[in-house]
Amino acid sequence: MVIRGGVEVGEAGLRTLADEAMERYADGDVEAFSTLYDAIAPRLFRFAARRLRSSSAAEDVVQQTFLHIHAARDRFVRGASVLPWAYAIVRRLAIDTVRRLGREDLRASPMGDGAEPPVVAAPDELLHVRRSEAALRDDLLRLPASQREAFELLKVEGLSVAECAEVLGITRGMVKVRAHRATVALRSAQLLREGGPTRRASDGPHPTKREAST
Amino acid sequence: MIPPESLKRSILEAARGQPVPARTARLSPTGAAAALPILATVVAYAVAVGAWDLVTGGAGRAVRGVASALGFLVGFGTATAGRPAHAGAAIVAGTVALAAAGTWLVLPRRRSMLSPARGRLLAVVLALPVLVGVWHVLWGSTYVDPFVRTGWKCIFMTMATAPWPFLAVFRASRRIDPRHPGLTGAALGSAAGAWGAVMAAIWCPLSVGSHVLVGHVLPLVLWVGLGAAVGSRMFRLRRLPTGPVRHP
Repeated sequence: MVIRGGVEVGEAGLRTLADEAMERYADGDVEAFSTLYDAIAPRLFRFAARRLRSSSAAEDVVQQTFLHIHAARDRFVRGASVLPWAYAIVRRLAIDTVRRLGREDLRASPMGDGAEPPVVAAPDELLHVRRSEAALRDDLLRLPASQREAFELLKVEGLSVAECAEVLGITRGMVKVRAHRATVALRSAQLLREGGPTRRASDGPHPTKREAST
Repeated sequence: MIPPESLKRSILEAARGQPVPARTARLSPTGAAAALPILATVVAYAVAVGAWDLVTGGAGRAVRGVASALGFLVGFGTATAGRPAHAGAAIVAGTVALAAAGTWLVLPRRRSMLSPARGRLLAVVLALPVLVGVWHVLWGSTYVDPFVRTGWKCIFMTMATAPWPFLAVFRASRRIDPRHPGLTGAALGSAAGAWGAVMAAIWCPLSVGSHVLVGHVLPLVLWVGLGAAVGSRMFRLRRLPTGPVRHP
Protein backbone atom coordinates (compact mmCIF):
# COMPACT_ATOMS: atom_id res chain seq x y z
CA MET A 1 0.00 0.00 0.00
CA VAL A 2 1.67 3.23 -1.13
CA ILE A 3 0.64 6.51 0.42
CA ARG A 4 2.58 9.70 -0.13
CA GLY A 5 1.04 12.34 2.07
CA GLY A 6 -2.39 11.20 0.97
CA VAL A 7 -1.97 13.25 -2.20
CA GLU A 8 -1.65 10.62 -4.87
CA VAL A 9 -4.76 8.70 -3.97
CA GLY A 10 -8.09 9.80 -5.43
CA GLU A 11 -10.71 11.44 -3.23
CA ALA A 12 -12.95 8.38 -3.02
CA GLY A 13 -9.99 6.07 -2.49
CA LEU A 14 -8.60 8.38 0.17
CA ARG A 15 -11.81 8.24 2.12
CA THR A 16 -12.02 4.47 1.97
CA LEU A 17 -8.38 4.16 2.94
CA ALA A 18 -8.87 6.42 5.96
CA ASP A 19 -11.98 4.58 7.08
CA GLU A 20 -10.29 1.22 6.73
CA ALA A 21 -7.27 2.45 8.65
CA MET A 22 -9.48 3.77 11.44
CA GLU A 23 -11.39 0.49 11.61
CA ARG A 24 -8.12 -1.44 11.90
CA TYR A 25 -6.81 0.99 14.50
CA ALA A 26 -9.99 0.71 16.55
CA ASP A 27 -9.67 -3.07 16.37
CA GLY A 28 -6.15 -2.99 17.78
CA ASP A 29 -3.78 -2.57 14.82
CA VAL A 30 -1.39 0.06 16.20
CA GLU A 31 0.38 0.59 12.86
CA ALA A 32 -2.91 1.67 11.25
CA PHE A 33 -2.73 4.99 13.10
CA SER A 34 0.24 5.96 10.97
CA THR A 35 -1.70 5.02 7.83
CA LEU A 36 -4.65 7.05 9.02
CA TYR A 37 -2.35 10.01 9.60
CA ASP A 38 -0.90 9.75 6.11
CA ALA A 39 -4.37 9.54 4.62
CA ILE A 40 -6.04 12.53 6.23
CA ALA A 41 -3.44 14.73 7.95
CA PRO A 42 -2.52 16.78 4.85
CA ARG A 43 -6.16 17.66 4.23
CA LEU A 44 -6.79 18.50 7.88
CA PHE A 45 -3.61 20.57 8.03
CA ARG A 46 -4.56 22.55 4.91
CA PHE A 47 -8.04 23.14 6.32
CA ALA A 48 -6.68 24.28 9.69
CA ALA A 49 -3.96 26.43 8.14
CA ARG A 50 -6.45 28.19 5.88
CA ARG A 51 -8.67 29.01 8.83
CA LEU A 52 -5.91 30.00 11.24
CA ARG A 53 -3.32 31.48 8.83
CA SER A 54 -0.62 30.17 11.10
CA SER A 55 1.30 26.96 10.49
CA SER A 56 2.24 26.47 14.14
CA ALA A 57 -1.37 26.88 15.27
CA ALA A 58 -2.49 24.53 12.49
CA GLU A 59 0.06 21.91 13.62
CA ASP A 60 -1.24 22.19 17.17
CA VAL A 61 -4.84 21.76 16.01
CA VAL A 62 -3.99 18.73 13.86
CA GLN A 63 -2.07 17.17 16.73
CA GLN A 64 -4.99 17.65 19.11
CA THR A 65 -7.38 16.25 16.51
CA PHE A 66 -5.40 13.04 16.15
CA LEU A 67 -5.12 12.71 19.90
CA HIS A 68 -8.90 13.04 20.20
CA ILE A 69 -9.32 10.38 17.52
CA HIS A 70 -6.88 8.20 19.43
CA ALA A 71 -8.69 8.81 22.73
CA ALA A 72 -12.03 7.76 21.22
CA ARG A 73 -10.51 4.70 19.53
CA ASP A 74 -12.44 2.24 21.71
CA ARG A 75 -15.74 4.02 20.99
CA PHE A 76 -15.36 4.33 17.24
CA VAL A 77 -18.60 3.16 15.64
CA ARG A 78 -18.13 0.29 13.22
CA GLY A 79 -18.72 1.51 9.68
CA ALA A 80 -18.62 5.21 10.57
CA SER A 81 -16.78 7.64 8.34
CA VAL A 82 -13.72 9.15 9.98
CA LEU A 83 -13.33 12.17 7.71
CA PRO A 84 -16.41 14.25 8.71
CA TRP A 85 -15.66 13.52 12.36
CA ALA A 86 -12.06 14.64 11.98
CA TYR A 87 -13.08 17.78 10.10
CA ALA A 88 -15.63 18.60 12.80
CA ILE A 89 -12.94 18.28 15.47
CA VAL A 90 -10.50 20.45 13.50
CA ARG A 91 -13.18 23.06 12.92
CA ARG A 92 -14.08 23.24 16.61
CA LEU A 93 -10.45 23.35 17.73
CA ALA A 94 -9.71 26.08 15.20
CA ILE A 95 -12.63 28.14 16.47
CA ASP A 96 -11.43 27.65 20.04
CA THR A 97 -7.87 28.57 19.06
CA VAL A 98 -9.00 31.81 17.44
CA ARG A 99 -11.03 32.64 20.52
CA ARG A 100 -8.15 31.82 22.83
CA LEU A 101 -5.29 33.48 21.02
CA GLY A 102 -7.09 36.09 18.98
CA ARG A 103 -6.52 36.92 15.33
CA GLU A 104 -3.60 39.23 15.99
CA ASP A 105 -1.54 36.64 17.85
CA LEU A 106 -2.15 34.16 15.07
CA ARG A 107 -0.99 36.64 12.44
CA ALA A 108 2.23 37.13 14.39
CA SER A 109 3.32 33.67 13.21
CA PRO A 110 1.96 33.61 9.67
CA MET A 111 2.21 30.88 7.06
CA GLY A 112 5.46 30.92 5.13
CA ASP A 113 5.17 32.10 1.53
CA GLY A 114 6.98 29.00 0.36
CA ALA A 115 4.30 26.73 1.74
CA GLU A 116 2.82 26.25 -1.72
CA PRO A 117 5.24 26.07 -4.61
CA PRO A 118 4.44 28.45 -7.48
CA VAL A 119 3.09 26.75 -10.56
CA VAL A 120 3.45 29.66 -13.01
CA ALA A 121 6.91 30.54 -14.19
CA ALA A 122 6.43 33.93 -15.86
CA PRO A 123 6.64 36.82 -13.35
CA ASP A 124 3.67 38.78 -14.74
CA GLU A 125 1.47 35.69 -14.78
CA LEU A 126 2.60 34.82 -11.28
CA LEU A 127 1.72 38.34 -10.14
CA HIS A 128 -1.70 38.07 -11.77
CA VAL A 129 -2.35 34.68 -10.13
CA ARG A 130 -1.24 35.98 -6.74
CA ARG A 131 -3.51 39.03 -7.04
CA SER A 132 -6.45 36.90 -8.10
CA GLU A 133 -5.88 34.54 -5.21
CA ALA A 134 -5.59 37.42 -2.77
CA ALA A 135 -8.79 38.97 -4.10
CA LEU A 136 -10.61 35.65 -3.84
CA ARG A 137 -9.37 35.19 -0.28
CA ASP A 138 -10.65 38.65 0.60
CA ASP A 139 -13.99 37.92 -1.02
CA LEU A 140 -14.21 34.69 0.95
CA LEU A 141 -13.38 36.48 4.18
CA ARG A 142 -16.17 38.98 3.54
CA LEU A 143 -18.76 36.20 3.34
CA PRO A 144 -20.77 35.33 6.45
CA ALA A 145 -18.96 32.58 8.38
CA SER A 146 -21.76 30.06 7.82
CA GLN A 147 -21.63 30.49 4.02
CA ARG A 148 -17.84 30.52 3.95
CA GLU A 149 -17.60 27.26 5.88
CA ALA A 150 -20.08 25.46 3.64
CA PHE A 151 -18.34 26.76 0.50
CA GLU A 152 -14.87 25.81 1.72
CA LEU A 153 -15.84 22.31 2.79
CA LEU A 154 -17.74 21.61 -0.42
CA LYS A 155 -15.67 23.35 -3.08
CA VAL A 156 -12.19 23.53 -1.57
CA GLU A 157 -12.00 20.44 0.65
CA GLY A 158 -14.05 18.34 -1.73
CA LEU A 159 -16.38 16.84 0.86
CA SER A 160 -19.75 15.55 -0.25
CA VAL A 161 -22.93 17.39 0.72
CA ALA A 162 -23.72 14.68 3.29
CA GLU A 163 -20.25 14.87 4.84
CA CYS A 164 -20.38 18.65 4.87
CA ALA A 165 -23.75 18.50 6.64
CA GLU A 166 -22.25 16.17 9.23
CA VAL A 167 -19.26 18.41 9.84
CA LEU A 168 -21.40 21.51 10.28
CA GLY A 169 -24.27 19.84 12.09
CA ILE A 170 -26.92 21.12 9.70
CA THR A 171 -29.21 19.54 7.12
CA ARG A 172 -28.07 18.74 3.58
CA GLY A 173 -30.54 21.24 2.18
CA MET A 174 -29.05 23.98 4.33
CA VAL A 175 -25.56 23.08 3.11
CA LYS A 176 -26.69 23.48 -0.50
CA VAL A 177 -28.40 26.79 0.25
CA ARG A 178 -25.35 28.22 2.01
CA ALA A 179 -22.91 27.04 -0.63
CA HIS A 180 -25.12 28.42 -3.39
CA ARG A 181 -25.40 31.80 -1.69
CA ALA A 182 -21.64 31.88 -1.21
CA THR A 183 -21.07 31.06 -4.89
CA VAL A 184 -23.47 33.78 -5.99
CA ALA A 185 -21.83 36.31 -3.66
CA LEU A 186 -18.32 35.40 -4.88
CA ARG A 187 -19.40 35.62 -8.49
CA SER A 188 -20.96 39.03 -8.03
CA ALA A 189 -17.88 40.22 -6.12
CA GLN A 190 -15.70 39.09 -9.02
CA LEU A 191 -17.95 40.88 -11.51
CA LEU A 192 -17.75 44.04 -9.42
CA ARG A 193 -13.97 43.79 -9.33
CA GLU A 194 -13.69 43.34 -13.05
CA GLY A 195 -16.00 46.33 -13.53
CA GLY A 196 -13.16 48.78 -12.61
CA PRO A 197 -11.40 50.39 -9.67
CA THR A 198 -14.18 52.89 -8.88
CA ARG A 199 -16.72 50.10 -8.49
CA ARG A 200 -14.33 48.09 -6.37
CA ALA A 201 -13.69 51.00 -4.06
CA SER A 202 -17.38 51.17 -3.31
CA ASP A 203 -17.45 47.45 -2.63
CA GLY A 204 -17.49 47.85 1.12
CA PRO A 205 -17.05 50.50 3.80
CA HIS A 206 -14.13 48.72 5.51
CA PRO A 207 -11.43 47.63 3.05
CA THR A 208 -9.10 44.94 4.35
CA LYS A 209 -5.43 45.54 5.12
CA ARG A 210 -4.46 43.80 1.92
CA GLU A 211 -6.67 46.15 -0.11
CA ALA A 212 -5.30 49.16 1.69
CA SER A 213 -1.74 48.12 0.99
CA THR A 214 -2.24 47.40 -2.73
CA MET B 1 0.95 22.70 2.07
CA ILE B 2 2.03 19.49 3.82
CA PRO B 3 2.44 19.09 7.59
CA PRO B 4 6.03 18.63 8.72
CA GLU B 5 7.32 15.12 9.37
CA SER B 6 8.04 16.09 12.98
CA LEU B 7 4.31 16.51 13.55
CA LYS B 8 3.64 12.90 12.65
CA ARG B 9 6.41 11.73 14.96
CA SER B 10 5.12 13.75 17.89
CA ILE B 11 1.54 12.56 17.36
CA LEU B 12 2.55 8.92 17.18
CA GLU B 13 4.74 9.30 20.26
CA ALA B 14 1.96 11.02 22.20
CA ALA B 15 -0.48 8.28 21.21
CA ARG B 16 1.96 5.61 22.30
CA GLY B 17 2.43 7.42 25.62
CA GLN B 18 -1.30 7.40 26.35
CA PRO B 19 -2.51 3.89 25.49
CA VAL B 20 -6.22 3.46 24.86
CA PRO B 21 -7.76 -0.04 24.78
CA ALA B 22 -8.82 -1.36 21.42
CA ARG B 23 -12.48 -1.62 20.57
CA THR B 24 -12.56 -5.40 20.69
CA ALA B 25 -11.05 -5.48 24.16
CA ARG B 26 -14.16 -3.92 25.66
CA LEU B 27 -17.37 -5.79 26.29
CA SER B 28 -20.55 -4.30 24.93
CA PRO B 29 -23.40 -5.79 26.97
CA THR B 30 -26.27 -4.20 25.06
CA GLY B 31 -28.98 -6.06 26.99
CA ALA B 32 -27.56 -5.09 30.35
CA ALA B 33 -27.05 -1.52 29.16
CA ALA B 34 -30.79 -1.28 28.48
CA ALA B 35 -32.04 -3.33 31.43
CA LEU B 36 -30.02 -1.65 34.17
CA PRO B 37 -31.40 1.89 33.65
CA ILE B 38 -34.95 0.52 33.47
CA LEU B 39 -34.46 -1.34 36.73
CA ALA B 40 -32.79 1.66 38.33
CA THR B 41 -35.63 3.92 37.17
CA VAL B 42 -38.22 1.60 38.70
CA VAL B 43 -36.28 1.49 41.97
CA ALA B 44 -35.89 5.29 41.93
CA TYR B 45 -39.63 5.62 41.28
CA ALA B 46 -40.50 3.45 44.26
CA VAL B 47 -37.97 5.19 46.48
CA ALA B 48 -39.22 8.63 45.43
CA VAL B 49 -42.85 7.75 46.14
CA GLY B 50 -41.88 6.18 49.46
CA ALA B 51 -39.64 9.07 50.53
CA TRP B 52 -42.28 11.69 49.72
CA ASP B 53 -45.04 9.78 51.54
CA LEU B 54 -42.74 9.12 54.48
CA VAL B 55 -42.05 12.82 54.89
CA THR B 56 -45.64 13.95 54.38
CA GLY B 57 -47.64 11.10 55.92
CA GLY B 58 -45.49 8.70 57.92
CA ALA B 59 -44.27 5.14 57.52
CA GLY B 60 -47.66 3.53 56.95
CA ARG B 61 -48.53 5.82 54.11
CA ALA B 62 -45.09 5.33 52.62
CA VAL B 63 -45.49 1.55 52.54
CA ARG B 64 -48.95 1.85 50.98
CA GLY B 65 -47.63 4.37 48.45
CA VAL B 66 -44.71 2.18 47.39
CA ALA B 67 -46.95 -0.87 47.14
CA SER B 68 -49.49 0.89 44.95
CA ALA B 69 -46.78 2.53 42.82
CA LEU B 70 -45.11 -0.81 42.14
CA GLY B 71 -48.53 -2.36 41.63
CA PHE B 72 -49.20 0.09 38.79
CA LEU B 73 -45.94 -0.93 37.14
CA VAL B 74 -46.30 -4.68 37.61
CA GLY B 75 -49.89 -4.66 36.38
CA PHE B 76 -49.19 -2.16 33.58
CA GLY B 77 -51.78 0.02 35.26
CA THR B 78 -52.02 3.70 36.10
CA ALA B 79 -53.42 5.63 39.03
CA THR B 80 -57.18 5.68 38.71
CA ALA B 81 -58.03 7.80 41.74
CA GLY B 82 -60.66 9.88 39.97
CA ARG B 83 -59.01 9.40 36.57
CA PRO B 84 -60.78 7.17 34.02
CA ALA B 85 -58.66 4.12 33.20
CA HIS B 86 -58.72 4.78 29.48
CA ALA B 87 -57.55 8.39 30.03
CA GLY B 88 -54.71 7.21 32.27
CA ALA B 89 -53.63 4.58 29.77
CA ALA B 90 -53.76 7.07 26.91
CA ILE B 91 -51.77 9.70 28.81
CA VAL B 92 -49.07 7.17 29.73
CA ALA B 93 -48.98 5.63 26.25
CA GLY B 94 -48.71 9.06 24.61
CA THR B 95 -45.96 10.15 27.00
CA VAL B 96 -44.07 6.90 26.35
CA ALA B 97 -44.38 7.49 22.60
CA LEU B 98 -43.09 11.06 22.96
CA ALA B 99 -40.19 9.96 25.15
CA ALA B 100 -39.28 7.15 22.74
CA ALA B 101 -39.47 9.47 19.72
CA GLY B 102 -37.36 12.09 21.51
CA THR B 103 -34.76 9.49 22.46
CA TRP B 104 -34.60 8.16 18.92
CA LEU B 105 -34.15 11.68 17.55
CA VAL B 106 -31.35 12.74 19.89
CA LEU B 107 -29.21 9.62 19.73
CA PRO B 108 -26.51 9.61 17.05
CA ARG B 109 -27.13 7.90 13.75
CA ARG B 110 -25.90 4.35 13.56
CA ARG B 111 -22.87 4.94 11.34
CA SER B 112 -21.66 8.28 12.54
CA MET B 113 -19.39 9.58 15.25
CA LEU B 114 -21.30 12.86 15.38
CA SER B 115 -24.56 13.81 17.04
CA PRO B 116 -27.63 14.67 14.92
CA ALA B 117 -28.07 18.02 13.20
CA ARG B 118 -28.61 21.12 15.30
CA GLY B 119 -32.18 21.62 14.04
CA ARG B 120 -33.21 18.16 15.15
CA LEU B 121 -31.70 18.61 18.63
CA LEU B 122 -33.28 22.03 18.97
CA ALA B 123 -36.65 20.61 17.97
CA VAL B 124 -36.42 17.98 20.71
CA VAL B 125 -35.31 20.53 23.30
CA LEU B 126 -38.16 22.90 22.52
CA ALA B 127 -40.95 20.58 21.43
CA LEU B 128 -40.75 17.69 23.87
CA PRO B 129 -41.72 19.60 27.06
CA VAL B 130 -44.48 21.41 25.17
CA LEU B 131 -45.87 18.23 23.61
CA VAL B 132 -45.81 16.33 26.91
CA GLY B 133 -47.72 19.20 28.55
CA VAL B 134 -50.22 19.54 25.70
CA TRP B 135 -50.86 15.79 25.65
CA HIS B 136 -51.67 15.82 29.38
CA VAL B 137 -53.91 18.87 29.14
CA LEU B 138 -55.80 17.50 26.13
CA TRP B 139 -56.79 14.42 28.10
CA GLY B 140 -57.46 16.55 31.16
CA SER B 141 -60.43 18.06 29.36
CA THR B 142 -62.13 14.64 29.24
CA TYR B 143 -62.60 14.31 33.00
CA VAL B 144 -62.77 16.41 36.16
CA ASP B 145 -59.64 16.31 38.32
CA PRO B 146 -60.40 14.53 41.63
CA PHE B 147 -58.43 17.05 43.73
CA VAL B 148 -56.14 20.05 43.41
CA ARG B 149 -52.38 19.98 43.94
CA THR B 150 -49.57 22.29 42.88
CA GLY B 151 -47.34 19.54 41.57
CA TRP B 152 -44.28 19.50 43.80
CA LYS B 153 -44.50 15.74 44.20
CA CYS B 154 -44.60 15.28 40.41
CA ILE B 155 -41.52 17.50 40.04
CA PHE B 156 -39.77 15.49 42.74
CA MET B 157 -40.64 12.17 41.10
CA THR B 158 -39.58 13.29 37.64
CA MET B 159 -36.30 14.70 38.92
CA ALA B 160 -35.66 11.54 40.96
CA THR B 161 -36.36 9.05 38.18
CA ALA B 162 -34.87 10.82 35.14
CA PRO B 163 -31.16 10.50 36.13
CA TRP B 164 -31.15 6.83 35.10
CA PRO B 165 -32.56 7.37 31.63
CA PHE B 166 -30.14 10.29 31.37
CA LEU B 167 -27.20 8.04 32.20
CA ALA B 168 -28.43 5.53 29.63
CA VAL B 169 -28.74 8.06 26.77
CA PHE B 170 -25.47 9.66 27.86
CA ARG B 171 -23.77 6.28 27.51
CA ALA B 172 -25.44 5.61 24.18
CA SER B 173 -24.22 8.97 22.85
CA ARG B 174 -20.69 9.25 21.49
CA ARG B 175 -19.58 11.14 24.63
CA ILE B 176 -17.68 13.65 22.53
CA ASP B 177 -19.30 16.38 20.53
CA PRO B 178 -17.13 18.84 18.65
CA ARG B 179 -20.05 20.81 17.25
CA HIS B 180 -22.65 21.70 19.86
CA PRO B 181 -21.98 19.95 23.18
CA GLY B 182 -24.39 22.05 25.22
CA LEU B 183 -27.27 21.54 22.82
CA THR B 184 -26.61 17.80 22.63
CA GLY B 185 -26.66 17.60 26.42
CA ALA B 186 -29.86 19.66 26.56
CA ALA B 187 -31.54 17.34 24.05
CA LEU B 188 -30.44 14.26 26.01
CA GLY B 189 -31.76 15.94 29.17
CA SER B 190 -35.08 16.62 27.48
CA ALA B 191 -35.42 12.97 26.40
CA ALA B 192 -34.45 11.72 29.86
CA GLY B 193 -36.89 14.15 31.47
CA ALA B 194 -39.64 12.77 29.22
CA TRP B 195 -38.96 9.26 30.57
CA GLY B 196 -39.20 10.72 34.08
CA ALA B 197 -42.51 12.30 33.04
CA VAL B 198 -43.74 8.83 32.05
CA MET B 199 -43.17 7.61 35.59
CA ALA B 200 -44.99 10.66 36.98
CA ALA B 201 -47.87 10.13 34.54
CA ILE B 202 -48.33 6.53 35.70
CA TRP B 203 -48.87 7.72 39.21
CA CYS B 204 -50.42 11.21 38.95
CA PRO B 205 -54.17 11.43 38.10
CA LEU B 206 -54.20 15.22 37.62
CA SER B 207 -54.32 16.90 34.22
CA VAL B 208 -55.42 20.45 34.89
CA GLY B 209 -53.30 23.03 33.08
CA SER B 210 -51.70 24.75 36.08
CA HIS B 211 -50.69 21.42 37.64
CA VAL B 212 -49.34 20.05 34.37
CA LEU B 213 -47.29 23.19 33.83
CA VAL B 214 -45.65 23.02 37.25
CA GLY B 215 -45.55 19.28 37.86
CA HIS B 216 -44.97 17.81 34.41
CA VAL B 217 -43.48 20.49 32.13
CA LEU B 218 -41.26 22.39 34.56
CA PRO B 219 -39.14 19.31 35.45
CA LEU B 220 -38.50 18.72 31.75
CA VAL B 221 -37.32 22.29 31.43
CA LEU B 222 -35.09 21.75 34.46
CA TRP B 223 -33.68 18.61 32.86
CA VAL B 224 -32.99 20.56 29.67
CA GLY B 225 -30.93 23.02 31.70
CA LEU B 226 -29.21 20.26 33.63
CA GLY B 227 -28.44 18.37 30.43
CA ALA B 228 -27.04 21.51 28.82
CA ALA B 229 -24.74 22.06 31.79
CA VAL B 230 -23.56 18.44 31.81
CA GLY B 231 -23.19 18.35 28.02
CA SER B 232 -21.19 21.54 27.72
CA ARG B 233 -18.86 20.20 30.40
CA MET B 234 -18.60 16.53 29.43
CA PHE B 235 -18.98 16.53 25.63
CA ARG B 236 -16.74 19.45 24.73
CA LEU B 237 -13.26 18.92 23.37
CA ARG B 238 -10.65 19.25 26.07
CA ARG B 239 -7.03 19.95 25.43
CA LEU B 240 -5.28 16.59 25.61
CA PRO B 241 -1.73 16.15 26.93
CA THR B 242 0.81 15.81 24.15
CA GLY B 243 3.33 13.93 26.28
CA PRO B 244 3.10 10.53 27.99
CA VAL B 245 0.74 10.44 30.96
CA ARG B 246 2.42 9.38 34.20
CA HIS B 247 0.27 7.26 36.44
CA PRO B 248 1.01 7.43 40.19
